[in-house]
Amino acid sequence: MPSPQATTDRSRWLHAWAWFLCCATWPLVWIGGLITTTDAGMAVPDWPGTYGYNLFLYPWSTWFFGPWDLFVEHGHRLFASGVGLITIAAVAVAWRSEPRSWLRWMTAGALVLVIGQGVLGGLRVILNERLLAMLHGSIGPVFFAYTAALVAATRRPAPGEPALAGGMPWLMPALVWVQVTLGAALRHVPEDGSFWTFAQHVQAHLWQAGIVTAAVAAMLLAAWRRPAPRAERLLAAAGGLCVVVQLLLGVGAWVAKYRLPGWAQQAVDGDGLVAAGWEAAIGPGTIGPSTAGGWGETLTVTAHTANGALLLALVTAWAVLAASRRRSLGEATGATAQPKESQFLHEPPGSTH
Amino acid sequence: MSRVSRIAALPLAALAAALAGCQSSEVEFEPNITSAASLGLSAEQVGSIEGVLVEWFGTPDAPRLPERLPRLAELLDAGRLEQAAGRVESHTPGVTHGLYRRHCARCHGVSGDGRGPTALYQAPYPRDFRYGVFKWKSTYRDAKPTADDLHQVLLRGVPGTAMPSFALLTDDERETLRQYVVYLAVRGEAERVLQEFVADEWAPGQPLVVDDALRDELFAGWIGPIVDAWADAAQNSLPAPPAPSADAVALGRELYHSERAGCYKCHGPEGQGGAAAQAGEPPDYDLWNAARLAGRRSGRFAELSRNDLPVRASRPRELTAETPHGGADHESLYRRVHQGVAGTPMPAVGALRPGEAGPLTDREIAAITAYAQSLMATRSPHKGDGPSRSASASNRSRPL
Repeated sequence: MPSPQATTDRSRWLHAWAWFLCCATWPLVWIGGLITTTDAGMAVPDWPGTYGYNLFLYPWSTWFFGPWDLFVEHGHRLFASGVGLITIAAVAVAWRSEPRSWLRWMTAGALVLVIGQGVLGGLRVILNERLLAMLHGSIGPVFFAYTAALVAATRRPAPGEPALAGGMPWLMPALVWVQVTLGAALRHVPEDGSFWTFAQHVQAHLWQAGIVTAAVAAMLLAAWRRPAPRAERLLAAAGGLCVVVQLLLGVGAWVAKYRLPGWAQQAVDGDGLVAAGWEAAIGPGTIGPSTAGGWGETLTVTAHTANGALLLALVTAWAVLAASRRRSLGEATGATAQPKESQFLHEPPGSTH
Repeated sequence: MSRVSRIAALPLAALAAALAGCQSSEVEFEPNITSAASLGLSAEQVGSIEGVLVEWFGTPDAPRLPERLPRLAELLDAGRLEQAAGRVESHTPGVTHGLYRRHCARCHGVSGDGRGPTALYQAPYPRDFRYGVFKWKSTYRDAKPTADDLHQVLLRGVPGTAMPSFALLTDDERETLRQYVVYLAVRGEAERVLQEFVADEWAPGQPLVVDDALRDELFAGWIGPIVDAWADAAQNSLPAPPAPSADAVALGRELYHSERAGCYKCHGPEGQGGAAAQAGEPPDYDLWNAARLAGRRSGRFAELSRNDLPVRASRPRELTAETPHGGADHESLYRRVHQGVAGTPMPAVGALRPGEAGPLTDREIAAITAYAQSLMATRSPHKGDGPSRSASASNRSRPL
C-alpha cells in the first residue's frame, strides 16, 4: 500500500499529464478545423500511410515545403499521432501512480476515444465520405472535452469547498455538444445537397446557439449566486466569455464566407440604427469580395470551430466539478451515498485498490 | 425513462437529425424543371431529354464532350473537365481533382443551376450558368463572355456578393474552373434548346428519341450555334470607350436626368437606386427570376416549383458611395452603361451590334459613365430620409 504522501505525489503526476494532453489536443482541433475550412481532407489518398510511406517516414521536406493541402493534412496526422502517444503515456502514468481504479479506466477511455477518432479519420479518407468527415469533426471536440474532464477529475479539491445544492450539470456539455454537432453538420452539407437542407441546418444551429447562450448565462448566475469553489467560477466565467467570442466569430464566419444576406443588406442600406452602426464600424460602400482560402476567412471560420470545442471542454470540466460536489454532498448527508460514488474525488489518500 | 437517460438521449437525437440528409448518393445533373414547366413538357419528356444529355455530355462525375461538336473540343479540354468534375481528392501532391465541387458547387450547385446548398441566403442568388448569360463581360449584350471576362470574375470576385476572389488559386486551376463553367453553360443551353425542340417539333407528351439523322440535325441546327457563339465571343468585344471630355460630368448629369437616357427613372434623381426611384412601378425581374416566375405560373411540376428558390424582384443599383458588383473602373462601367447588364432589366443605350447606331453616342455614354463615377465617389445623400427608403426596402425582395 503506498503511503499517503506518495499517493498525493503520483496523483499530481496524472493531473499534470492530463493538463499536457488537454493543451496538446486543442491545437489538434484547430488543425482539424483548418482542414475542413480549406477542404484539404483528401489531400492524401491513403491511410494510415501517406502516399505509400510510413506516416513518420514521409519526406519532411516534401511535407513542409509542399502544397498547403498536404502540409495541413499530413501535419494533422503527425500531430494526432503525437496526441495519441501522449494519451498512451497518460494511461501508463495512471496505471503506475493512480490508486483510484475508476480514474485509471477513465484515462484508458481517452485512449479508446483517440484511437476510434483516428480510425474514423482514416475511414473518411479511404472511403472519401463526407458523412464520416462530419462525424470526425463532431467527435474531435468530444475527445478534447474528455481530456478537460480528466483535468477536472484529477484535480484535488481544496478543503472545505461548498457542496452543490442542485441542478443538472451534465445538461450543459450535452447542449454544447449538440451545437458542435450541428455546426459540423452545417460545414459538411454535401455539395449536391438541397438549399432547404442547408437552411434547416442553419436555423437549427441558430436556435441551439440561443439555447446554449441562455444555458451558459444560467450557469454564470448559478456560479455567483450560490457558494461555489473558485475553479468552478473561473470555468463559468471562461465559458461566458467563450460564448460571447463564439457569437462574434459566428457572425464573422458567415460574413467572411457568404457576405450579408438580403435582409441584412437592407438593414445596413437603410436609415435606422443598424445602418448607422454599420457605417460607423465598417464604413460606407460595398463590402469587397473575400479571397477564397485567404487567411481572414480561413482563420475566422476555423476559430469559430475551435472556440466551440473550447466551450465544450470548459463546460465539461465545469460539469465534472459540479457533479463531484454533488457527490460530496451526498456522501456528507448520506442521502445518496453509494460506496463507488463516495470515492469520486474525495477518497482518502492511501486507500488500496 | 430516467432523467439521466433522457439527457443522454438528447445528443443522440441531435446526431440522428444532423445525419438526416447527409447520405451519399450518386450525383446527377438536375433537369431544368423551370424551363420545362414553362414550355409545357411532361415528366417523361424531361427524363428522355436528360437521358440524351447524359449520353452526349456525361455526368457530374464523368463529363464528356460530344464528338460531333469539334468546335467544342477546341474550346474545352477534356482533361481539364475531368479534373474539375467529381469528388474532391488528390492522387498526386498538389494536384486536386473535383475543383468545381471544392470551390463552386456549394453556391452554384453541382448542375451549375445556381441552386447550391447556400443559395437561399445569398443576395443576389448565385449565377445559374445554364442560361449561358453572364453579367460581367466586355462583349455586346447578347454575346457570350470572353475567356478573359470569366477569368477576371474568378480573379477579382464580385464586390458586395458572396462570390469571392480566387486569386490564391493557380492560373491553371482558374482556367480549369473557367472551362468547366463554360461546359456547364453549354450543356445547360443544349438542354434548353432540346426542350424547345421537343415543345415545338415533338408530339405532346411523347418522350424524345434521337436517331442518327436527328442527332446530326440537332447538332448542326440547334446545338452547334451555341458552341459557335462561345467560340466567337472575342469577335464581339465592345470597343474601348472614348477619352472623357472636360465637360463629361456636366454632360453626363444632363443626360442622366433626361428622357433620352432615362437613368434617373430606375437609379433615382440622386442615384439612390432601389425601388424608391420606382415608386408605383410594378416589380421587374431578371432573366433567372422571370423564368422561375413563368415556370411557376405554368402550374406544371408544382411540387418541384414550390421547392425552388423564392422569386426576387430586381433592384436598380444604388450609385452613391457604392462599388457596383461589376467593378467601378471607367472601362467596365462604360461597357455596362453602353450594353446594359445582360439578363437584367438594365437596358443598353448604345448600339447592340458593331456598326449600328444606338440611342446614345459613345461620347454621351462615356459622359454618363463619368457622372455615375462622380456619384459613386460621394457619400449617400439620402441617409436619414426615412420614409421613402423604408417603403422601398419592402419592395426589393419579393418571395412568391
